Amino acid sequence: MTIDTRHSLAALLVLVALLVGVGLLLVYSSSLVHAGENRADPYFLLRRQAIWAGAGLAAFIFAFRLDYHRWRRFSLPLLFGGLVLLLLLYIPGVGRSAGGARRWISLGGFTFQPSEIVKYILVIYLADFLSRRQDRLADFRAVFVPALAVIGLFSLLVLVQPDMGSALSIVLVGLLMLFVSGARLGHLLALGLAALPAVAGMVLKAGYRRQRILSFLDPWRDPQGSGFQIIQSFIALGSGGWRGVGLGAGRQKLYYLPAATTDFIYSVLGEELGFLGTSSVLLLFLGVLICGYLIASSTPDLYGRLLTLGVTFMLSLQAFVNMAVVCGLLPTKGLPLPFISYGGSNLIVSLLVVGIIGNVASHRGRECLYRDRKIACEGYRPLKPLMNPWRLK
Amino acid sequence: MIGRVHSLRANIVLGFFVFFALSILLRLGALQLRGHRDFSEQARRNRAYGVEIPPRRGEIVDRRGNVLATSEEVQSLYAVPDEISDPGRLAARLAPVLALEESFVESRLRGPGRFRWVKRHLDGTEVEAVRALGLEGIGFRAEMKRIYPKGRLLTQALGLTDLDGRGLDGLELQFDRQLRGRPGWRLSELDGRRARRELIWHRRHDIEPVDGSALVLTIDEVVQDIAEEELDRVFREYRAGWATLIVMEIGTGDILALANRPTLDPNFSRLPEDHRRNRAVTDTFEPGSTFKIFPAAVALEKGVVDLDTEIYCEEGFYRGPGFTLRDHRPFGDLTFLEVITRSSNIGMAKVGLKIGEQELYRRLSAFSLGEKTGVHLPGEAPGLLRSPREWSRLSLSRITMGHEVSVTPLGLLTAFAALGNDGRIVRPRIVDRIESPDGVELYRFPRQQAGQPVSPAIARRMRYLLARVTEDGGTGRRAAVPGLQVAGKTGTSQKYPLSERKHIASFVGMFPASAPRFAILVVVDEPGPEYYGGVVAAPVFRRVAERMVGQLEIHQPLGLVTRETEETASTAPRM
Repeated sequence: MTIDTRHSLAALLVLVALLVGVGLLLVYSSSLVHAGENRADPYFLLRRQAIWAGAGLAAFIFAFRLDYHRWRRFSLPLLFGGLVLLLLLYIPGVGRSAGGARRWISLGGFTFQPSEIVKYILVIYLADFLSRRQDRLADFRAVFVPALAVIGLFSLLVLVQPDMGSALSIVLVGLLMLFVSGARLGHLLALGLAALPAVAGMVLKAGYRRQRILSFLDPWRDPQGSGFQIIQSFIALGSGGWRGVGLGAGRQKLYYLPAATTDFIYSVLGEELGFLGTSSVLLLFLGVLICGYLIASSTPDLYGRLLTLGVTFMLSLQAFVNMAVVCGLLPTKGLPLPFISYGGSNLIVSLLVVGIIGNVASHRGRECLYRDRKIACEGYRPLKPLMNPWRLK
Repeated sequence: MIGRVHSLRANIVLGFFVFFALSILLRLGALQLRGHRDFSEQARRNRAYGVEIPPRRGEIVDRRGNVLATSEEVQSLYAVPDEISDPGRLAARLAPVLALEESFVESRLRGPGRFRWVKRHLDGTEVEAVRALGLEGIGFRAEMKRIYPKGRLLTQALGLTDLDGRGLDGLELQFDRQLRGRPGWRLSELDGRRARRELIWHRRHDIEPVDGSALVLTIDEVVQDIAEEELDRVFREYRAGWATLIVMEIGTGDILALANRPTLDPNFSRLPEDHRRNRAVTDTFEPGSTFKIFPAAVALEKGVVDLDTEIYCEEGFYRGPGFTLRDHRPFGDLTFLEVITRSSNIGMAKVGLKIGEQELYRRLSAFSLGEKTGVHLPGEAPGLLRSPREWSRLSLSRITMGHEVSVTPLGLLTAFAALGNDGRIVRPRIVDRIESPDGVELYRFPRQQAGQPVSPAIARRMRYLLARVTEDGGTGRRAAVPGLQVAGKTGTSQKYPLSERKHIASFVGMFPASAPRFAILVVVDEPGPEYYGGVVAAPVFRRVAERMVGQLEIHQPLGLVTRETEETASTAPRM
């Protein structure tokens, strides 16, 4: 049996639909007591998340139907737009802070996190940039330095919010795109070595980051203080056992878990649906990764391939980092779980980029059209499918 | 490698992600499957909330329903040391508010532990002040605090409780089981907020406490108040070592008042042992001349003397068989009546010789003088009346004058009260009944008789005799109440080791003499400079009797006890 891109796409859409469904259930379960007590409406968060899921569906359809090459034309304006969004955070009345971080933009009663959007703008830009310079991809000055400058600028702007998690994922996904597109290994290694002292200094300078690292290394050092969050997450996961205490019956969300509806929603899942629940969601995300990879592998143009890979990497990285944080494999980052955590920016943008992948997938074999339509696709050259470990077409 | 995505590199990245996912899966397995039991237990412990709901301890009220002891809800401050990260700083903020030593507070806050008292029974302003600090890791728990609204009234008999509401002394100890009630309890869960709230829908058990039963005493607050005041007065005036005053209702044995000195207000002070002693029942003393009543009654009962029998009192110095005696002043020939009214030791000794050792002992025993009265108070001491086998040659003469015997004040008064009750002893009662918190009678203590040491006729004759003691020429004339005939006997005993300075002054009396309703005993230890019972104790009796007459509307019944009424041995019904 052969699996072609249509199957991958269908599987991807089913996986994402499942994830969004699980997300709605968990948002309701983890928020109902809090919302009931504070807003006298246990459905408050569920209703909002459902509205955003609807908006996300619209965004998905929009992106699914929009020829993905069109994003190319707007990659530079999008980049500048992202820059403006990040700077808007510092305009009083527009930028909103919460919990010591300036991460939200408030426009007409609607708040969103620019960093969620900016991550994918950067992916789109890099895909376009690298495919435009595909003849000089190993060139240090023509490709490596400009790409790095953009990545650096954006991650820095996100970092000062401060949003370490998003900044790191921008850097990491950016470098991964450089890596798979053929940047010299030597350049990447040199960069890594050069960045090491800076990263270490940054970590040690900010007191709360050091606290996080220390409490990550030994949460029981201060179980009531900095270790409290991660211990509560362990307790939630551990209470779940194989099958969990039952959906809605979890207790750790009752003010024991920090950010039970967002960053630590995976712990709620672990307590209520147990190992079966957590491993299923993990496998769903792994499935998303593989579907994205398969779609990318059979996309013959470099732009589409890089775009799909970048988006897939970004989604997967966020998901896996979030899970790793929740079960104590990584220090606390403040990254939401895509599709599942409560929050509009995250959900809408995630669904939108799934739409982009879908559009890439549905274009297979019709690349020739683009030249006629005079949509930016100069230097088009069909690619051989990526080798994949499953020998799937 | 130009112009295309590196397959190998893409695969490496893919592999990296798969490896990442696998390590998460392993970690989840470790936490959720291997750690399940530990973490579940930890979760249960974090949430578990069990609390005992204290019952309200029963009230203690007097015979009129006046509250003598009650309980009120107060807040106690506890710490959860496990949740306190900086005990030093917390202690520095708490200590001044609680008026405690900072080092002490810190020692209470320092871990490990989930619960430790910091300060019990805070007053309202302290609670407000602590709440205002808004600190973490501490909390309040409601407790019941024992309150004695009448302050020093009846302190020793009521006793006291510890901070946990357990009776330590007095009635609080004797009836602890009845007063205590049964605590309720609640098992539930708490949420994870700093100010932890109960998750009411996870409450598993909620058992209401059962409040304790109430004690209704025979004590009459009005009489008790008089007793406390008058005893206080004599205690201060004569700088006494200790003093006791008991008022008993004749016929029922009900104790109307029972006061001891020294004393303190149990609400505000930790009572030292000395102030807690209910000497009226726990301590015995050599009664001295007040005791002469009993051998005198025995002599009359046995018929060895009558009131007019003349006895030569040897001009104050008597060398008897194996002993020598002195009187407080020399007397010549005295009638038996005068021997009592003037309290001649020599006269009494001679009467005692006439009675004989065995007979004296047997009949004194009938007054229950060597036993406990059985009153419902803890630590009652029995009197001491040795059998003739243990007597020396001195003993007979000593016992007739109230030495070589010892009695508790209550034991003495109980025996004495028999003379006002046609010779029948009634056991003293201090608790009338036990009532449920809503006032339903659960148990009533019966009135019990304990033998009849003398006949009604002799009892009446004794009352006449004792009435004469309080008339002009008697040692107890200072006990006389204008317009009311009273009967009583003074006592002044030297304390051992014999010294000129240390005495116990006492007076025991009843009124009205013709139909006695109340008996009063006053004992004052080591008064000074005056020490005669007739001078120190008799006036206390008078003042208490006088004030009781005023408060309780007691009237002199028609007819006094006279030579004639008692001689005719009237059998007219008593009131």
